[in-house]
Amino acid sequence: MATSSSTYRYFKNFFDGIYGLYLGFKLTLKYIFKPKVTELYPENKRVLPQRFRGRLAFLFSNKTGKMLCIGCGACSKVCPPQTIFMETHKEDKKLIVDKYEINIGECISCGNCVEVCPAGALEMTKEFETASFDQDTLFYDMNKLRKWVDEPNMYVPPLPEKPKK
Amino acid sequence: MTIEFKTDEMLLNMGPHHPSTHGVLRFIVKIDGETIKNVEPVIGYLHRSIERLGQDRNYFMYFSVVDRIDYISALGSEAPLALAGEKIGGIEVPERAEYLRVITLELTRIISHLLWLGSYLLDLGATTVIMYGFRDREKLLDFMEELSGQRMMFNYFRYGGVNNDVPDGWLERVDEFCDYFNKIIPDYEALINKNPIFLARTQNIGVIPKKLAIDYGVCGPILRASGVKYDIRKNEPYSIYDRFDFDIPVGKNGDCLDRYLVRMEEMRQSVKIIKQAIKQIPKGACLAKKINQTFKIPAGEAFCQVEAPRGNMGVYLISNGTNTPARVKFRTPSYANTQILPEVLRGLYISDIMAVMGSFDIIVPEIDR
Amino acid sequence: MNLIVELYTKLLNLIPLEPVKIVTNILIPTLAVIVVILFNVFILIWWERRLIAFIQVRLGPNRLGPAGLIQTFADALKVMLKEHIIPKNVNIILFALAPIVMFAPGLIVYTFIPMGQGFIVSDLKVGIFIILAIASLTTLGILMAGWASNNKYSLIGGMRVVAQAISYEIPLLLSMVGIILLTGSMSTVDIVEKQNIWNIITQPLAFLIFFICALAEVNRIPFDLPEAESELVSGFNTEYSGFMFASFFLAEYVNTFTLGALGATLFLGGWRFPLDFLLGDVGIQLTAQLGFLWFYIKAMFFFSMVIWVRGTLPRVRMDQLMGFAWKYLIPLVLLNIFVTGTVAAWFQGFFKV
Repeated sequence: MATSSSTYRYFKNFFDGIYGLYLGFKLTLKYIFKPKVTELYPENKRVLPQRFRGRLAFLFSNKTGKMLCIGCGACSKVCPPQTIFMETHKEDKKLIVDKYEINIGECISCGNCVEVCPAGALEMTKEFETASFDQDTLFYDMNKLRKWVDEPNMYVPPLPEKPKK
Repeated sequence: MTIEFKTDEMLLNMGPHHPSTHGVLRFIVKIDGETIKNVEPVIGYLHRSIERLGQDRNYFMYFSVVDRIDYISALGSEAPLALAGEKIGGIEVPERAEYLRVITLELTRIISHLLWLGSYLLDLGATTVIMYGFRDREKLLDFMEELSGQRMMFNYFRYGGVNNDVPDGWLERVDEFCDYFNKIIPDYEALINKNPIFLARTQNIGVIPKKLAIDYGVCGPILRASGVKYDIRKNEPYSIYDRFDFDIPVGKNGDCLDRYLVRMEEMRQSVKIIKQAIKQIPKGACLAKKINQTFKIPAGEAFCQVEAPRGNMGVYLISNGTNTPARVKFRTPSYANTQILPEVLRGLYISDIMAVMGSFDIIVPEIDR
Repeated sequence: MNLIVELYTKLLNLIPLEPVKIVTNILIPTLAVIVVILFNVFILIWWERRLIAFIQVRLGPNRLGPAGLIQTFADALKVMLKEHIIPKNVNIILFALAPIVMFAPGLIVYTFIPMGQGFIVSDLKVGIFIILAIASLTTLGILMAGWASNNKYSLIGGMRVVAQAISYEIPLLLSMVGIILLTGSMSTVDIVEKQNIWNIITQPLAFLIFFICALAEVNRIPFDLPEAESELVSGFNTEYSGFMFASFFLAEYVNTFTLGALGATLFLGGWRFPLDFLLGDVGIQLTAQLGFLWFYIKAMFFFSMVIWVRGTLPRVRMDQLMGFAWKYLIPLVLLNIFVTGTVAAWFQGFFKV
């Protein structure tokens, strides 16, 4: 029997095909009895990791009772969709923040504002279910973004240690 | 005496809304019966002017915009930008940051290839492989979420290093995943490799000869499947890839089956690189200098290329000393790979459009950035 | 259940009038069969979604009702309340008739399949012949849908269906010839009663070929090119919405179950308990009381194998599909007939059970 004659190839294709099909069927039969990976949401919500970037929060300090923001405007300068809107006025060498508003519909949760803030006044919460039926309710102002914390949320970049003097 | 049938050609519009062109890509297909006479891809439905946005956004925040060029392997677009900026500014990246960059880049390669595998077989009709692929992908996305905070737009690279160090136990868990993944790849292969229907649909379909591939400038696994041994990680090594020991899979015929086999082998090699990197990673800092919105790069220009999962992803950066780039230009792999489609699809059947296009792994946002 | 049917026939046959006999013996049983089969479709859809989900490492519908049984009712209700969109320039007569032409033959076939001892609506001497003749009318419905939709995608889908159905009907018919040779008659009742050893053991090759051709007749993966979602956006179904789409969908399931019922009757022993001839006469009578249950289990087993194939294999291309039928299946089925005939002729005494 020549190894490249058409009858040989006809039968070889046939039996190779059957072997290939057998391997596939064996695998799917095995998977019918394996444990399933579906998570029953919303009964089981998964534990979110610590660095999860959800909705933004504007921090107020428990110790002083006032906001931690110093009004520098760095966060609005690094926001990629330019959705942070701040209004400040100067009162004897300090900036007081009148209005702080973001549009949750535009925010991409990148975390740039949290990294850049020199006072640690912003934090990414673990809330991600902020959908609503009306676009006007997606403008969150200072009251909706308020969160009370004990310590400012300073971002510590992974820099090399400074040599001791 | 022969009778000639006069048949008309039909124009079929596989329009922007289609379940299986991966994204909004439009094909104007001229068919005669079931044979294709000509295919014309029409692009531009997803143009978001990311390059023009680069001229208005400063260096620090541009990483979160660049993520969105190829959203499935986001770090493949962040890496060349970081490398180009570091080349102009002469910034030295610490060792640990280099190793973390390599680990995360190879993890995104596996993430992207698993998605490709699932959607390729979904186009061909097998609906189980995408579910298995997503089950494995969930574990990888959990790792990236613990590291950077999000599952898709990582915003992780910075000029001079990376954003954050690894959490506790992360490296051990990635090691365990590598062992698990090595055991699970034979499952995929048992289901697909010897399947006669899969072989009949992909063997000798969409053959790209070696010369044609080089002439058209295709890149990535398509080029390697056609027989050209070219991988930026070996030919023009960037970062610390010359310290690792891995192979480049090369195909023989350049058909769809070879492209599939090249990508499966690439996943195995990525796992090998990750395991070596985890063994060799040193302790130390992950960032050279603190970056914020006042970060400036001196005037200059540089072009850097990276082996993204789809091919050569390159960035040409022109800086002028301020904190905003003067011009950013992206060279994306899918844009170059789409050009060869009309040449390859001539003479095949309509059902083969899906097989060939799926094996090219084209992502439309990359074409139209 | 046998007792109910016997009582019913005995009582109503007391009225000697001929028209009443037609109503009670033919019309009402047919209606009962159709209603039962239509309710069965809900169970079929639920089972398909659960089993294919289990293969794909996930749970299927599990929210509505216990284990998701009411999900199908909810989906059917939703589909029926949708708006009927009829495109312009559509051939309205064909457009409206196509779902009916596809739906009806699948239901008519059930009157010729025995679902229990004496449970057949009409016992013809050429049962198999007429079953196949009627079951092949469904392709006409699909072609009508494809042509009347005034849409290139649907037309391509319709043409593919005709080519595929014609190619795969020949092996389907020929695979049954072996059984007819062994049984000696084309009547379905005779085939079941003479199957002491199930035909799947004496004709394994014919069972395999029947299975593959059944997949092709019903447009199931791996032969579901006419409604390939990734290529043609749902093929001949594209322009249908609302209840007409639901009827195509239901028709596909009814047809699959029909071929499953046919396969169970021909190959798996119909309504008989396995190896019931060893239990003696009393045993046969006892197990035959639950005849419908055994029949149902066997048809569902056939259906589960169809789902299993759907979960594993990709789609076959059009020319490869027809090449497979003409080059591989027809020689095999002819070989089967040849071998069956030879063996039956030599061991004639052995096969007279």
